[in-house]
Amino acid sequence: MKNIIAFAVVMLIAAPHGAVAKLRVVSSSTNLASIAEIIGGDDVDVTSIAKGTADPHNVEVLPSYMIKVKRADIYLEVGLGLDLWAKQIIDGSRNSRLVIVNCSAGIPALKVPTGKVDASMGDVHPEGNPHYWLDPDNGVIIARGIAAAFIAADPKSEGKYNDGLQRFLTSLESHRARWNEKAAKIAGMKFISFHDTWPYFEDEFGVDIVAFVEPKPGIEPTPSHTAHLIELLNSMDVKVIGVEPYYSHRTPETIARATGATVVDLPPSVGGAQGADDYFSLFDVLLDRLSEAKGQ
Amino acid sequence: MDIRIRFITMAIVLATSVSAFAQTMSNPDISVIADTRAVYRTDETAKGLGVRSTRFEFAESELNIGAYLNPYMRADVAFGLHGVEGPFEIEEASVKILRGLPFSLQIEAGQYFLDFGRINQQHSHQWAWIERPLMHRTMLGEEGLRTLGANLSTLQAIGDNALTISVNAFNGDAFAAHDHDHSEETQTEDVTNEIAGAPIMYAGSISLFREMSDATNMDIGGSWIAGEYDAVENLNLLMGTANVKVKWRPDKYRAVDWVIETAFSDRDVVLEPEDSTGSETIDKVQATGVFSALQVRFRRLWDVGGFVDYTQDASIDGMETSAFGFFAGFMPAEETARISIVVRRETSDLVDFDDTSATIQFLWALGPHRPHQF
Repeated sequence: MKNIIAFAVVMLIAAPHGAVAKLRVVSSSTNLASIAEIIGGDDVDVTSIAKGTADPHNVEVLPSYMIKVKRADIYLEVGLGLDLWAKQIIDGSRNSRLVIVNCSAGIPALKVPTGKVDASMGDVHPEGNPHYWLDPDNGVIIARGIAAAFIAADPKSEGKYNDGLQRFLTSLESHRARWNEKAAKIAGMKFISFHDTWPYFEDEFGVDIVAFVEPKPGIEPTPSHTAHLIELLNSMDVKVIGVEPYYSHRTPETIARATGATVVDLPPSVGGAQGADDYFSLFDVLLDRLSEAKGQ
Repeated sequence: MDIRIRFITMAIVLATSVSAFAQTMSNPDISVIADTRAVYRTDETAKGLGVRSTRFEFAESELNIGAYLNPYMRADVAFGLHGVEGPFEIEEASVKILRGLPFSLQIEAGQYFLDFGRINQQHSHQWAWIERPLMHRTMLGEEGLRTLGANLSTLQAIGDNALTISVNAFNGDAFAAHDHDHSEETQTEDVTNEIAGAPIMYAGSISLFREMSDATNMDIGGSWIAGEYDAVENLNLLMGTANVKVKWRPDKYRAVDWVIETAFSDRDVVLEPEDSTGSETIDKVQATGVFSALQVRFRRLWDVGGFVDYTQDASIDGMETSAFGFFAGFMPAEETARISIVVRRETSDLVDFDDTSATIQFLWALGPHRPHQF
């Protein structure tokens, strides 16, 4: 009987410690969450605020998100002005022990505007285009930053997080060979996209985005801009229009009808489409969809 | 009044200036929100002496300045200019301890919109229906209830739901402080109240937020205020409110937003003598009110909706005012500009007065105004 009681006491003491030891991570996007899950494995509990199908520029500040952040040890921000809403969620969470990791640290940002930036240019990000995770090279920088944050927060598990980082890097390299093969099939492919989401992807995989459905970032399509795009597509023989899952198909389909182009759903985030279940498969889905669209 | 000015001055210094105590690394966020209107009114009266008018109005402009003071605190100041010539006033000036306190507490101190109900906490530019609900005007004041006081709140989880509980202590003279009546008589009353010692009143609120699905959220809340609001006449009041907000937002292009708020008031009021030989008496006046609005957003930039509004007067027994209306709005780009039209019909026993108005509102915002919380 004494043994049973002693065992129960040990379990009661041990169980909560085990639970507490698990790092709780909240991220602004599913992409950062996916990388964090790969690195942290079973030692971390990761939640994303924005869903893969949601526009990461515009997330409503909900008290339930504050509750998630209140329980967290680490918050992963996208940065570069994409998730400005995160500040208010973090403030509302009242969590003073929260470590905030800006995952854009060390990223060579593209499309950094020069000169005066104002709202006449649309929703321009003064620090550069914030969709940097769409280049696997930047995935490496993100992963290193996340692993360093995990180690700082939980030094006892440094070995596990280093292993996790190594697992991520190895896996990325093995996927990269396949991505390069797929990218070769679409090299030089011209298409238009709804929003300026793809400059990093464009650089990495050699596609060419010639215009945007939005006349300026964050501004809804206008009839005159749509007419201009139709003219452009006809003159350049561009046959693919990429649309992120959170934008309306209305204007892209109008353009497609007038030009014979194909509208393709291009998820920029993990969870944004079937099959895009983690950071690696996201690139597979994107490359496959573009390849398929090119073949049509 | 001196105390308030001193406090507000201190808050501004904390929020905006190069601190007397240390160097600052960056400027605070500064934003301006302006509300310009073209209004057509019938101003009908029961005697048929209606005066129709059309005019442009500069309803309000708001200057917001806010910044973190350190990793634990931020300060925000909102200046309001009513009309072109004023009055110019400090709507809010408060410092908030965001984190570092036990039990997930936050403390806000200064002048702020009291969390009595859902709508009183919001600035008027957030409302598609434009006008402050009638029950707030009669129970809380024409500009809502801004208080000089302190708020202590906590956020707790009940499963995945968010429970927010708060208590406030504030100067009871807040009920008379924002009516833009700067007559000698009112000022004398204010001074007298201060000499008598502004009574401290207490308020509390509780709200439960629940994500019902990926697209649907609901928030249920209740709040109360109790205490002496006039130290000179020893007048007391008790008020309560219940509110529900439901939002369905399946994607960034569509949303349905429904809010309902009801309030009751039970307050002492001074009744003037019926003739010169009589004396003032104190009576209790009970009032209830309800406001509800439904807003439907479509194609991201457009919205339509309607509202109903009813209240009994909080100071005069048996008097009622009601209104209803419709609105439609267009936002060329989110959070920066909105053009809307609001048609409103208001009927009141109070002044034997019916009014139908049509308002075209131009609302615009400059600067990094923070997103509005659910």
